[in-house]
Amino acid sequence: MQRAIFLRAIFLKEWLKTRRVFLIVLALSAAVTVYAVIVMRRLIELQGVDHLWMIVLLKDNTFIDIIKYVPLAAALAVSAAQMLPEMQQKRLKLTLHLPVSQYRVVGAMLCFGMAMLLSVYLLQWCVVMCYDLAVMPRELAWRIMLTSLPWYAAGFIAYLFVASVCIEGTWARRVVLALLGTASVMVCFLQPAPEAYNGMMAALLIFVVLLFVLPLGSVVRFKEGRQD
Amino acid sequence: MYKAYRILLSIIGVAALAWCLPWLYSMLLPEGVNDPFVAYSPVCHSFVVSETEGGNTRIFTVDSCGNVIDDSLSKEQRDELVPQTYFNQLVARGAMPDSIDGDSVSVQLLKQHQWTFSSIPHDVNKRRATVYPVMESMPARFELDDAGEVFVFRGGKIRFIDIATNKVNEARSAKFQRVMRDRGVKLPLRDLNANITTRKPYDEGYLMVDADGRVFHMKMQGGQPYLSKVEMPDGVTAKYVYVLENAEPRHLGLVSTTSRELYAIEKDGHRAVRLPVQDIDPERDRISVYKTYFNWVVRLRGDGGARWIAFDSDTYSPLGEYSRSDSESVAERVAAYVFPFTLSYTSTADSYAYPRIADISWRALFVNLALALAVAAMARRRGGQWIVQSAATLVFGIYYFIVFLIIKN
Repeated sequence: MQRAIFLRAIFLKEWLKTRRVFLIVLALSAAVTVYAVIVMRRLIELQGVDHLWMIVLLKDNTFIDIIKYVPLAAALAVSAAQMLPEMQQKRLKLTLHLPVSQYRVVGAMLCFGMAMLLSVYLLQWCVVMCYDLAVMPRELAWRIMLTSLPWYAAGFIAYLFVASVCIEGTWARRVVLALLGTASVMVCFLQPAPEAYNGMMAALLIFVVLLFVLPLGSVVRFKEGRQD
Repeated sequence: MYKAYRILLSIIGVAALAWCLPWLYSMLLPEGVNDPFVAYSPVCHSFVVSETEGGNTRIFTVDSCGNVIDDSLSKEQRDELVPQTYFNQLVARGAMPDSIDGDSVSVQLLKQHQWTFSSIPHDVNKRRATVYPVMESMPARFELDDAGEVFVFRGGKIRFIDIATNKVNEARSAKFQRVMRDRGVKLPLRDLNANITTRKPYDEGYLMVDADGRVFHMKMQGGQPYLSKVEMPDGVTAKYVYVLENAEPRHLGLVSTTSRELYAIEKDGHRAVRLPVQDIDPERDRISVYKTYFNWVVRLRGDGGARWIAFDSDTYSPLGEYSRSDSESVAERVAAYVFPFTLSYTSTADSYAYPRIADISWRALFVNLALALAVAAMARRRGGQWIVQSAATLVFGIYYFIVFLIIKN
């Protein structure tokens, strides 16, 4: 019972803090998704659906390149909106004085942010998938959607790295975390070929789960007073 | 938790450095291999090698054992030795012979029998779409039309889908399924190949390798299925197939086998003929075929070097082989001492992304050992676990050394 009340309080706090950014991110994501669909519709009207199919098949074009960096941008915005006020207004210090495990508090905050991103990503993914299924065979639609999965993985990776950078108290470690985060995110954008990451998606998922350790480690350092 | 944080940060750091440092090094000291153009002369019956280095072109002839015969040929002399390639130059100079090697030739004849083919591992090692456009091989008008349908394999059956409506064409699917069953095509197919373009003289549809490694030729003629089995020698299992569709209609395609041989499919009799090319692997080698009226020259470019195999275009009898090995550059030698291994996520040899460790170098152990001793001394001063830290440096070398210096506490 107490745990439920605690979680509800944390989630409410996070919602109040991030709702504006969440709505902006949702609107931006929806706008880009609709634009991607309009581009495909326009091509079908001007050149015919066979032209779309042939470009997807023979040119390895997925027609959703425009949404490539949207999950990343959404993650940066949500993470910054969640963690920056905590550090700037010294709210995290107060939060960590609550009679609850620090890992549980920060873990709940991170889960809230990840759930927020997941909802944005799922909406975008489902809209594109539904449109693709309407105009092309399911084999092609799945090919396009599988190609986009590493972009969403990059979003989750960026979210957790930005969270750990924000919570971290020393500039030297912030720079190290930012560089490692940049390298980790870059891995998700290296190979543009369709379905290139199919064999790596399980590893990326495990990596995202492991990355929860980074913000929690930054909290430990923060609590120990490692600050500039 | 903090221990897990440090371990994870160290692992990510080592992985990032093992990826970025060798990449930066290769960007600063780029190494490239430039293969020469190699043709086989029907005039002097030897390889003619044209090599460009630093803006200078060196042209020489070599025999089938690789011995240089004539080391200082001019471009004009080369044109005369390789008339099947440089006939335009010879015509412009008024030096085009009427007959070569006893055969009377014309520019038109040479042009008609000349074609090239290439395959690169990057295109072979990739996840291909399982949707196959199909063109009409006997269009109502003379020109080829764009594909109007595609076929897919669902539930062990071939299904044709109309592109305009995105609906299954049940009648055509049933016809092709019946023919495939009658011919004994065993699914799933190992490989399919077609050239989906209207910029070709005619359409031969698809070459397919079935689950048993047999080759079939399938196309759509007047909306009806055409499917025939390609005769392969007993015991030969096909792996990759390539449709040719050249102006010279003698060959339907090429087949590489699991035993690393290369076959040409002749249209006459729908039979595969073994070519004198051994140890060919499309997953590993860049393959290029240069076919002329007189001969074929097949180039196989692998990791360590390149081979050129020439054989007669009529009889396929071998004419000679020329090969070159790549030598290790100074930059590569230095890298082998500095980097114990490299990590990359992509490769020029495929279209996949996954972590791959390569260039494991035992020569880097010397540097690793020196760095491990330095780490041991520093870690003892810091009061850390010096044995674990120096062991990690011994294995991961410069990558862990940098991580050790940066991530202190």
